Amino acid sequence: MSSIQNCNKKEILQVDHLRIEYPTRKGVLVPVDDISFSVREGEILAIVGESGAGKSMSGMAIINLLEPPGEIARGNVVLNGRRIDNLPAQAMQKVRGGEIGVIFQDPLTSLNPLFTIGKQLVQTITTHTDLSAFKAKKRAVELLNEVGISGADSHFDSYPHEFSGGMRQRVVIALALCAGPKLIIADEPTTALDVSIQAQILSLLKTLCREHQTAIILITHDMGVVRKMADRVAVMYAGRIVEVGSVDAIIKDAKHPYTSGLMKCIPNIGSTVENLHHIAGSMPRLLEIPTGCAFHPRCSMMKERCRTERPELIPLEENHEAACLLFDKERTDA
Amino acid sequence: MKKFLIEHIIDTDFFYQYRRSPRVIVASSIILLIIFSAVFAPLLTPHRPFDPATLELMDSRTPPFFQEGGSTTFLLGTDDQGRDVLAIIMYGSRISLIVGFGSVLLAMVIGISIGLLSGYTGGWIDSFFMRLADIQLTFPSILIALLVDSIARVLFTGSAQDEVAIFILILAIGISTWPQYARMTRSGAMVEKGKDYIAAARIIKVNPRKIMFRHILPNIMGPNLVLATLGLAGAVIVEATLSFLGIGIPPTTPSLGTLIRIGNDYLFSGEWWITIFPAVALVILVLSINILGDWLRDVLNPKLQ
Amino acid sequence: MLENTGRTMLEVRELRKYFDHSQGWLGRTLSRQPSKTVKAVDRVSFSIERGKTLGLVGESGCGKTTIARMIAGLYRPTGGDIIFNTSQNEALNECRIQMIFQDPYSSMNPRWRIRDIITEPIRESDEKTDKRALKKKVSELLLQVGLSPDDADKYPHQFSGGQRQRISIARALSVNPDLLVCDEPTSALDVSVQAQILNLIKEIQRSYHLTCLFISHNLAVVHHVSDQVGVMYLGKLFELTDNNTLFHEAKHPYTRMLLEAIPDLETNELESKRLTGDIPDPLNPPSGCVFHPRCLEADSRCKKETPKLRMIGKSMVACHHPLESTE
Repeated sequence: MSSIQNCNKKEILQVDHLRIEYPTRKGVLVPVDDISFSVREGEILAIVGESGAGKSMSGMAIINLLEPPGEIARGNVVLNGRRIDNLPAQAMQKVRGGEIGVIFQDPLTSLNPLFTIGKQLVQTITTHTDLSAFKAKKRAVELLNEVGISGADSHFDSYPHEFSGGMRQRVVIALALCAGPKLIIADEPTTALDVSIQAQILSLLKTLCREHQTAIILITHDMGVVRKMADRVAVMYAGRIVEVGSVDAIIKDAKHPYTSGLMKCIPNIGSTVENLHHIAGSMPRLLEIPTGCAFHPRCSMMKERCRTERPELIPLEENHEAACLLFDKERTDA
Repeated sequence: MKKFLIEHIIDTDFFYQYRRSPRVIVASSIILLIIFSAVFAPLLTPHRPFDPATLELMDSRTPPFFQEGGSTTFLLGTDDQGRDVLAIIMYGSRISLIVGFGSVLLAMVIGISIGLLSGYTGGWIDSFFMRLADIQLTFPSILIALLVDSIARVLFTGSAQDEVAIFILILAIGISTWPQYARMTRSGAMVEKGKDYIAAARIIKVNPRKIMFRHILPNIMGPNLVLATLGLAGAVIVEATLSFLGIGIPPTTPSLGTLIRIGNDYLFSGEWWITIFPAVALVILVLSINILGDWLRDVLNPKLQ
Repeated sequence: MLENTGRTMLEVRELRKYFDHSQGWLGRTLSRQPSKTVKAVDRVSFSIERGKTLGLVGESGCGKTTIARMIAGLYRPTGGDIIFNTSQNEALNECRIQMIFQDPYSSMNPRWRIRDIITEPIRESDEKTDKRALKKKVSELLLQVGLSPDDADKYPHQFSGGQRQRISIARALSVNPDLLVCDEPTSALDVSVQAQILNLIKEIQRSYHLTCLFISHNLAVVHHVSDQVGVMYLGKLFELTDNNTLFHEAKHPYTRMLLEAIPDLETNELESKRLTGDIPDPLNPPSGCVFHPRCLEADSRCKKETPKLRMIGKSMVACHHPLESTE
């Protein structure tokens, strides 16, 4: 069973009506437009979408790593009851790596090539915890063992370039877990890895997080990864969340036309079709986001209302919401 | 919908950033003004300064108009032969700019060709040319220009020397500055070489010369243009230096550097305007080119976008 | 075993590509290190029938891209043969092989117009084509790949990734190739666009009766487009068989590992006994069967002896202990 009965668990992160703006000479771009979601303790929430949907940016906004001139224009981010979107830079640096761990896509650029991995681990541990250097080193070796780097002692003094991609990503996971964070933001953590390594890394990540009761926001474009890892899924399109629900609901019973279309596009080893289902057109550029529902030009079930009204997330059943006017029963026209 | 060319240019990011940099607008306007006056000098000046028939010795050593004894006929005064200083500056900038543009063009042709060959072919050809460039770069370009200049003077004598002085200088400065274009082009070529569109061309057996000039060259011109702009400033200075030392452009058709040298003799006898104004003109020209070049480098740098 | 029937379009025999990764002779003399070779492709043999698609699948370092580039003529093989059957029409043009690349952003010259990009193969092979005929051809090709004839005057940066791949396909088709090599053509695209492009590739393969070599690391994609599939690892071909057999009755332990590693949508099971270890350093490959350090079935023979590709049932397998279908 993939869904965890977590109604009792408290929410550790709330993102409320987040809007990110990017001023350019051609106008203000809005890569993320009014999204809200929450993450409970120990839960794995996947934010899934194609490129340009705004999922990476949402993750980066939470830890204030937006590239200027991008900025949070509206909304707030609350971690454990405390607002973090408006923290000064120094305070945010403590949160980042401390209460919130981060895993980026490319293990090569995530690690400093000039320092040994042991040194990087110790540095991170001493920055975010009260451990002495000696204790930090012990903790670092423990962590390396936990992430499956055997012979941790000997690898302590190795440099990142001496490791393979999979090993490096393990080190990055160790770094993210250093300070015992309550939340990890993982942005496409296995996209740069080979398939056989990807499975191992995902398995490791899931196991460790269940053990430490660390929540994960997993940002990815790969539905298969979502299926393996997530408890809940939020689907993004053109900067908006179009559907959110438990992983079973989304994968087996997607209700939003975009999500269901997307699921049908994915080639499957189980089935053999002559032609893959596809969604005509492509995601709109940020300057040309359609009015009303952003998906309406590509939607086979579009109605007139969809051109002008932007749908809110409508609850469909327990733990399943979709932002589509098809489900707006109160005001459905005859 | 097809736009007119002007509309197209105005619409680009490039022009947008141009509009927002006042100092670049000023600098480029100055350069354009200088070029314009250099090109149309014969039409703009009251007389032709190097035609003795138009000179009046009576006018010699007139101070600039704002000083006592000056007149508005000769705005910046005259020199010892009665030549209007403003006029000779215009003619002088002509020569300076011709040598500047000419040598940059020559350096680019040599440097880009070598760079393309080196970067695309690799192997011992690359090693050979890069070692050659390395050797040449250990000498200051002035020294190399001096060397070429001296050799040329041995080959030409007397009045023939004066006539070909411009070409000798273009050759000297051009040869001394090709390595920077070669290096820039080479690294660009090496980057482009690995890209798939070059592989696509190789699959259909396009010959290497076409690949270098039709495919790679258009993609590496950006940085080269920056180098060329800054190189123009450098070339003008080198030419002025050589002329000031007396081994550049002769006084018969002087450049700004030559003018500064000639005027130098009169500096301490009180006729300061004969050397100062050409010097100021040189500084303004070179400064404007440098400002433009620096701005171009920032604008064309994709990482700063 | 590898018969050359009259219908074979491409045959590859004992193909080898070794790269020299040693330092220059000076470095080697001074540091007293021997020369280091990477065997990117090590004695690979297969053939493709006319009009069929062979999918080559494998992880990084397996050599599939190197094979593609050798076949396209970009690398010279260190050894072995590439035999290409001549097509019926002995046309003037030599461009019987065309390639579609992975990166839609670097596969076209950013300074050229689409029209020039698409017609480059034609103009290279035949100097004398007139402008009007070319213009007509460009419009036809653009329509065929789902774009509009107006796009001919635009530049690559005005198009999205998926559209650029369509343009690449149009370029490849411009000279009616016999063999189309696709090197991860959809790996850089979003899922919904990938579906469009895969459908397009299948469609043009049918209408042009193209033979196709399709390289990908994505098993599901390969499953969708191929007739035959080959699995590679560290330069060696481990298994070669028809599509269905590979995915439902794989014999090589590595193939099974790959299949188990695919994050499919059916279950959320992540654990697998087979999935262990890392891909070895190509400069220092394991002895004998290069897969033995990660293989559950490995024994001492596997450490010493490199298995040869042989026929087992319907498949060609290079393994000392191939798996039964029921395992």
